Amino acid sequence: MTQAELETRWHRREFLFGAGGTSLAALLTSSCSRPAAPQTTGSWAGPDPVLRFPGKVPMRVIDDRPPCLETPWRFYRQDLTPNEAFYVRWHLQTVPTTIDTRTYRLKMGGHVASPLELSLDDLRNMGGQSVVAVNQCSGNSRGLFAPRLSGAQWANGAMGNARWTGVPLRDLLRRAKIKAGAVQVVFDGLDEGPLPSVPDFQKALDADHALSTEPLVAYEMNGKPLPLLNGFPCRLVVPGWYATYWVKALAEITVLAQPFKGYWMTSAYKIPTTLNAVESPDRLGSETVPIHRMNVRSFFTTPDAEASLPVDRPVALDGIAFDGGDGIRSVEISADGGATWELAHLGDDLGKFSFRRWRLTWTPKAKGEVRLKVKATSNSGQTQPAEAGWNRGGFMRNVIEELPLTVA
Amino acid sequence: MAEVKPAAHGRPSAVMLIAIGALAALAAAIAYYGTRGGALVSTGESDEAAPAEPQGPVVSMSLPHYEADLPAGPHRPLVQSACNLCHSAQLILNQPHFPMKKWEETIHKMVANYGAPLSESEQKEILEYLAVIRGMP
Repeated sequence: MTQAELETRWHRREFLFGAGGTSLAALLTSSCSRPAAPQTTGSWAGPDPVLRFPGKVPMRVIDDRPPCLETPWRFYRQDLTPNEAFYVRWHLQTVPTTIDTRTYRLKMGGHVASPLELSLDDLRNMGGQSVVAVNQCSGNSRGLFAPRLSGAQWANGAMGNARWTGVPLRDLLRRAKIKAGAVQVVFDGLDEGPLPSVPDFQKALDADHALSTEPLVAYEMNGKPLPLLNGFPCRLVVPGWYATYWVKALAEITVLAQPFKGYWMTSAYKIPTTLNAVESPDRLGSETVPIHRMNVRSFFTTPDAEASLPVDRPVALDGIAFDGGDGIRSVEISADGGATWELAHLGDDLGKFSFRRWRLTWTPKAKGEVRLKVKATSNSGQTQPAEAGWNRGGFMRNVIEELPLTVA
Repeated sequence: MAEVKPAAHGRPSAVMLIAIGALAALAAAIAYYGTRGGALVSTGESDEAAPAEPQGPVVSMSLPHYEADLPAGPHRPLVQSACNLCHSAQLILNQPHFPMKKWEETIHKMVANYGAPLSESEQKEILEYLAVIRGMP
């Protein structure tokens, strides 16, 4: 089932209990009433409500506590995903809901000669560097895996592309006088578990990666302060890497002279070392590593799935493609099930970590059902598989996507 | 041309003041209920701008309260109280159907990895509930 087909299904549900939601009566009662869950269809369990969170457009709720919200598909028609539609994924309660910028400090310590405590103004005064980069949840599209997996049941909307502005991480590490022998750098946000036994959400990068030109401590997203739900006052930006490393509401950076052993690095977010992290339920990969760089993906954004198109009339197709930082070399479209492929035109290059817009004018020549396919290839030659891979965590899905249409 | 009369001696009339006050209060109430919490079930079709992040030294938000309604089943109150410690019922409701073994593993993960404070018998009771609402042969 494609993203668009899933969305169509949700929108129908939204309509069932969402119509008239703007009346005052609805405002007062909608949070406490909910229709009984309809019977499940087998492939997708239960309805997911669509709610408006602070600073956000109405979004599909995967979980409301902690907030996990999916971006509505139509927003990918824009190259930069608007802040108010950017997906949200937190792991732990309690998420920070109030930040006093007068007392907020980003602490830097550990294996450094000069520990720091920086205010948001200190960070801003260090100057800014910008990068347009895709932030994609490791488990984006988990809800489409077969066999199904437990966890956040994302369709394809756990991703977004933004212009991130902030201080290069390495400038901060140098200012704190990172010492020789640093092995990893650990990042901790303000979110906290509800019980002391819940492992704090901390992620680590190797020291050489942390000291490379790429990671930023970003205090702006698309030219504005980050929404609280996306990590205000600042978050780590790790271009090309899955969003699990992009720690939100960043509070502490600790340099270690030995590898980090925290739960969220050693147990969670692990992938098999097999090609494209593919394994099968009865033959799990024997070795696993922390998830890291994104694989190449592409999607249709126009027209809508299940649109009806007139035969022999040209139609504008467009969509997005991205990868883990090599940049997109080509995007191809097939209207015959993958037998032949036509090159799409690539849009503006916003940088190798960004969504790359693609466009193609296509003229349907025969009436009936058709499923278009889209396939991207990166500058390193990586491309997308025809069959969806599977792994135990529901990570890194990048199958060739399809767009079902009717030609009439 | 209609003549615009300044209020007598520069003093707005009391009726006018009351009217303005009432309108302002109404507008404030609409703005308040329209944005606060944001727990507005929507058609999802509106692109209208969401309220901007507040500016100033203190940035805060109030999260909407949304309590998904768990279907009836055995030991439902235990599931509500125990599982809701870390995540809302919504996360349970959007899980697919799984065989017992998979649910057993999931409950074990909650206890072993996250320290869910559940006795052996409570774990069995939660398993019973999940098998009813999200089970699979």
